[in-house]
Amino acid sequence: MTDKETDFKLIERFKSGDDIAFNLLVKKYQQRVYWHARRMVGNHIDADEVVQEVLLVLFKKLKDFQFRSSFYTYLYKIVSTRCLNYIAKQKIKRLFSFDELSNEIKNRSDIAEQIENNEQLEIIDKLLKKLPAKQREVFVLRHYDNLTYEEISEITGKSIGGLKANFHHAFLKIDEMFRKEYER
Amino acid sequence: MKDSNLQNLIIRYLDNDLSDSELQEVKKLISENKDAAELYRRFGNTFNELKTNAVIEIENSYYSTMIPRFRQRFENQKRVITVGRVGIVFTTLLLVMFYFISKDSGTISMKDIADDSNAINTFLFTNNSTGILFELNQEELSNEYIDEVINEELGVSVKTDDNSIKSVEDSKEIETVPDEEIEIFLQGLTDENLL
Repeated sequence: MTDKETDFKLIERFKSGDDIAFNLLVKKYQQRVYWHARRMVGNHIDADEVVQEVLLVLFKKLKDFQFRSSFYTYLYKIVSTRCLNYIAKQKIKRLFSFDELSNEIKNRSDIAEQIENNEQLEIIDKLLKKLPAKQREVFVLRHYDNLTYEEISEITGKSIGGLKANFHHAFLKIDEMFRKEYER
Repeated sequence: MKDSNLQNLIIRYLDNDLSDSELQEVKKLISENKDAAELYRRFGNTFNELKTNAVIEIENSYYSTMIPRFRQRFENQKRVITVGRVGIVFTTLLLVMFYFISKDSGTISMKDIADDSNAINTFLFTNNSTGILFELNQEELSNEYIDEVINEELGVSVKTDDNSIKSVEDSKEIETVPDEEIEIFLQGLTDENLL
């Protein structure tokens, strides 16, 4: 049975009232969801918040799943939208508070110290955060989540040409930042 | 080849997005052209640095708490929604009750007035069948008293109940009735030998 078929079976089970099937689906994709959110929002606490939101939305919407696309593009669509919404909300919050500072404090006292103390990860978070949210989204989906441009197009609703251009510009910006900040 | 074209080709090469012919072209360029080789080295390093250590193993305990925490949150949200719905229904009921109470308050029964200890001393009432305006004080507030007055004034025996009188608020509407209608009304009373 292919991955897609397994997912569809689990969704059918969930639709007919089997909540364990939902848990199995979440377990299967939780790392991908977490890491996509993590790279989009740039820290563990916010990523965790996004993941919880994604699960809530998924639980409510999955019963309406039409089996037209693969489950993981459907899931990525939810994750992507939630991340962009979250980033937009944080931007507005930051306008009115010292949220950025409190986030840094939050991160330092985070239970997941092992994540935050990874220097390489910190560099990547910092660089990705400097990209515009939508460009970051394309870059993360392509470079880290290894999705095809067709899949990304399905998730974001953008043309493949536009996505390639986004990826190209995002990469050039990151390369430039690498050179400036770390004097390679 | 223009710099931007070269950049584009190398990025697409690293991104695995080249056709077979483009792939051969880039490989040839990198092996023959110093600038292309240098750009490939630099972009390649950036690509690798972005990928290396980008995913680290997180303790399984984090993932194992994900579903229970989601369940907890879902239950909390459900509770909030339920409380919210109950609140909306309760408020709607209150509003409906308030509407009916304020609607009913237009008809004041004798008992309501008599029970109201804060009521003012005199009240104005009209009798529906005769249209007579009564100004009654607290002691006079009885249907029997009204019957007696009508009997004395008009020589007509009537039986007044709470539905056949109106409070002064309702009787004010009479002021807006055109004179012609009042004429017709009085004529009607005369015809029935009530006046």
